Amino acid sequence: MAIPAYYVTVGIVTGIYIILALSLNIITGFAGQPNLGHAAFFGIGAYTLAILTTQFGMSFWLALLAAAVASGAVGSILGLISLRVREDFLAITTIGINFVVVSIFLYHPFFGQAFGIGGIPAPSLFGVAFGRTGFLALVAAAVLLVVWVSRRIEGSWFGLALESLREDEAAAEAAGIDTRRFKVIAFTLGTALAGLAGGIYASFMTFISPGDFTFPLSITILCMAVVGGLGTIRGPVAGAVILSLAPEIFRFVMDYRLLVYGGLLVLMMRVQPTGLLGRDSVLVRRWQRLIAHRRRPLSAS
Amino acid sequence: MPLLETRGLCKQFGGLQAVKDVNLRVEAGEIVGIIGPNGAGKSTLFNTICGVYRPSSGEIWFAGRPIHGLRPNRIARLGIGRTFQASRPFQQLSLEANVLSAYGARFHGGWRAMWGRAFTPQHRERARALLELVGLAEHAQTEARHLSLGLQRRLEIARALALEPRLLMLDEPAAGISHEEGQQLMALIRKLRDKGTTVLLIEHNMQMVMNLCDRIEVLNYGVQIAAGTPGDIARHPDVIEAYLGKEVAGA
Ligand SMILES: Nc1ncnc2c1ncn2[C@@H]1O[C@H](COP(=O)(O)OP(=O)(O)OP(=O)(O)O)[C@@H](O)[C@H]1O
Ligand SMILES: [Mg+2]
Repeated sequence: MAIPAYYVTVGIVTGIYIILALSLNIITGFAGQPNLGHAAFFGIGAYTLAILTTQFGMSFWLALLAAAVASGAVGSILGLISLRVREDFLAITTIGINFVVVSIFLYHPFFGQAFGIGGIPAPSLFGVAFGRTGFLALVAAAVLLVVWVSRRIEGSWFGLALESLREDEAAAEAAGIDTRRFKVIAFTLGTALAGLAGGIYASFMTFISPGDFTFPLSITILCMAVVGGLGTIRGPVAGAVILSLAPEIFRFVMDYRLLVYGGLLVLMMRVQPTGLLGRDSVLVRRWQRLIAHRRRPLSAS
Repeated sequence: MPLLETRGLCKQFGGLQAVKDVNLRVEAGEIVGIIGPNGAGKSTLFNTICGVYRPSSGEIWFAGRPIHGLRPNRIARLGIGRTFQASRPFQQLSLEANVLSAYGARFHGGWRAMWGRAFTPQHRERARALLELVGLAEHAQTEARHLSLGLQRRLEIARALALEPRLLMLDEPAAGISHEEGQQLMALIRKLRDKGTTVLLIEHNMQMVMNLCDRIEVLNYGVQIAAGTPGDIARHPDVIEAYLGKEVAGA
């Protein structure tokens, strides 16, 4: 195919960010639980796949599944912790988890320490190894999967239970909702999908190191979801696209990433807490008004 | 066998005995009122029955089984619907979603069922019927935060009713609502009772309690000081004293 390699790479990276933003959205958007350490789960997925494929000769596909399971398993532990601590402490706990996970990658020989892990194989299907375009297709499929999961959640009893517990835990309990169970499920599902993204990322990069999964990435992911609009599906997707393309266009952003994203988070909370495309946001209301204006003459005739 | 029974129920907050050795019996089909001065422990009694607080000691039996120690969601799904003194609807959800959340928890909460679609025409019809009952059907798509306090209280009742509870516990449902709304509320409570729902009611509005309740329990400093029919309670010297103070009672 004739798409230049650069665009394919940008497409893959953007797709991975979309998965990360949408998976965080299940935890933070739907269920309203703070998670400032999502990159850790991305990392657990990446390292799981890297180790299983390079050291145990496992096939990519099986290792990818294991990446999601390993990440989701650690995520469920975080979910259990979330039942014991207050919301503000939970935020700090998630930051802590990010640092702990990165330190383990960095200091334990099994994880290759600062050198990371290299030589991670590309997936192959019917004996043909994936090239760049193959990866783009794989990422696109994974994005579709995560969008599908999010949509399934959105209109389901499960999604309604998450939204209820986000709104008011005590009231949700009084309404018969097992808030503990649903919180743990949300953490497990969201982190498992981040692990899936990590597996794909590791294979695409062929080389990973602890620095790929640090706290600033967690903030970046959160920023994408918040800027776009937590609790919706279009919001995190748009946020991920905007914020992953921005550094491509404005190179300088990269150098001040944490500063820019941190500032952006604060700004969004001040002026547009529901996100650019969230419920009730200025843009969405404008759009709805526009649609309404267009429809009127039609319905009048 | 009473529908709800507490045996020697106590709840302590640090050094404060908020509920002290309360023995409550509520028979199926009754409307029972709980009255008492501010801080008497009425809401604490409610919260202990509903599992928000663990009893310091004592037992709670509902429909022939012990429920002390169970989590609130479990107790709710066993058939106790409740409202809060400071009403707590899900502010950013539509009225329909508010009601369906409880309905789903009760009837579609299983591992497989929870992935089912919530807003099907059939389920929305159920939500509409519940909202209709409390006079909110026309606002089904409105977000709860746009409702007045009085309407939020009604929404909470609809949400509790979505559990199809055998026992409905209302914590000061008439507080802060108009006289007319109060009359509607009384009609609603009677209607629910006639359909077979048992009602336990905390209320400061004496006119309402006296008119509505079959029996009244009086709490003061966490202790049951009197129980009986509205007529008994109105004449009970301890009650008059608790409410009006010693001098008036002695005069
Ligand atoms: N969570 C709590 N922690 C500590 N003390 C509490 C708590 N909840 C209630 N109390 C105390 O317990 C006592 C009983 O309070 P409760 O709210 O049950 O009274 P009430 O009868 O509902 O009063 P009101 O009519 O004002 O609603 C009060 O002294 C109150 O300050
Ligand atoms: Mg009270």
